[in-house]
Amino acid sequence: MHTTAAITKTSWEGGVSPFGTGWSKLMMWLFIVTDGLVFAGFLAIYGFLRLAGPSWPDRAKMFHLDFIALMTFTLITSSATMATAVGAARKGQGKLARRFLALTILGGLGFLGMQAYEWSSLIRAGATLSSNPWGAPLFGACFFVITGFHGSHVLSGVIVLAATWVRSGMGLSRPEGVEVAGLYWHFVDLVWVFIFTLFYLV
Amino acid sequence: MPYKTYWVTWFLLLIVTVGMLAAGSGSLTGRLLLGLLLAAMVVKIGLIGGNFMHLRSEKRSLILIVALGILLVGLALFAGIAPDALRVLKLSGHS
Repeated sequence: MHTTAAITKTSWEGGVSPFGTGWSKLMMWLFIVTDGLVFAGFLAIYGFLRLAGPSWPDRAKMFHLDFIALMTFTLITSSATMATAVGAARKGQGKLARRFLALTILGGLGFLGMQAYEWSSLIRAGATLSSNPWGAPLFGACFFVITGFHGSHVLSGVIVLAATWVRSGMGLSRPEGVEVAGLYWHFVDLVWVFIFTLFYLV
Repeated sequence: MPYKTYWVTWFLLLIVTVGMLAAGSGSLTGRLLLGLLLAAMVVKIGLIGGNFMHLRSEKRSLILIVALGILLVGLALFAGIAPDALRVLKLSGHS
């Protein structure tokens, strides 16, 4: 039997809504934490290999920082358009939300195109998973696995956003649906902050 | 959150990114560069998590689950792996 005392228990005691969110948003947050731990594992392995190895390829010889800056700009801008889409959905401005969702999808596609170009340039220069012309053979494994894993997240994000765009056009998507898709998209941007710093600048 | 907040956040992210690029391609090296880049990285994470993901306006229980979950496991990974990596480097005679 529910008493008033049981219902008004504090959040930490498992009150009615311990995290104050709907189930889909809470599940997305839990997914983000666990997925973040996967990336943490990958980046820890990368850090181990860099620290333990006698040398690491010179980034200036492999990457064009101007191009990477453009990729970063695209992803950051798509995060801002996504946040605006979420804000518009919350305020009931469906048309504006869809317009900014579409811009976010375009940003995601642009980023994927640029990543494909960067990958193909490195592959043409002789980089593979097990060797490369610049030195430490494990660079290729670290780079392609981590940026590939991130790229697959961007691709999934674009698909989720496209589905949300179509569903909202049909009146099937609630504001929380846009917000959950947005959380995933910002997470993808967040992971890029780590990759951008640890691969391209350090 | 007003729309303006999102675009101010975007602008701040751009400024920090440009600063990181300048630091990365300048004459700074070693621990100073690493420290600066990691500090800038933390600022960017705070901006994205706090403003874009609205973590600032969530319940404290959710913020703690997300932030502590990732932070503690990250620190545990670092504490477990970094000493081993340095030991391997020393054993191979390159330190």
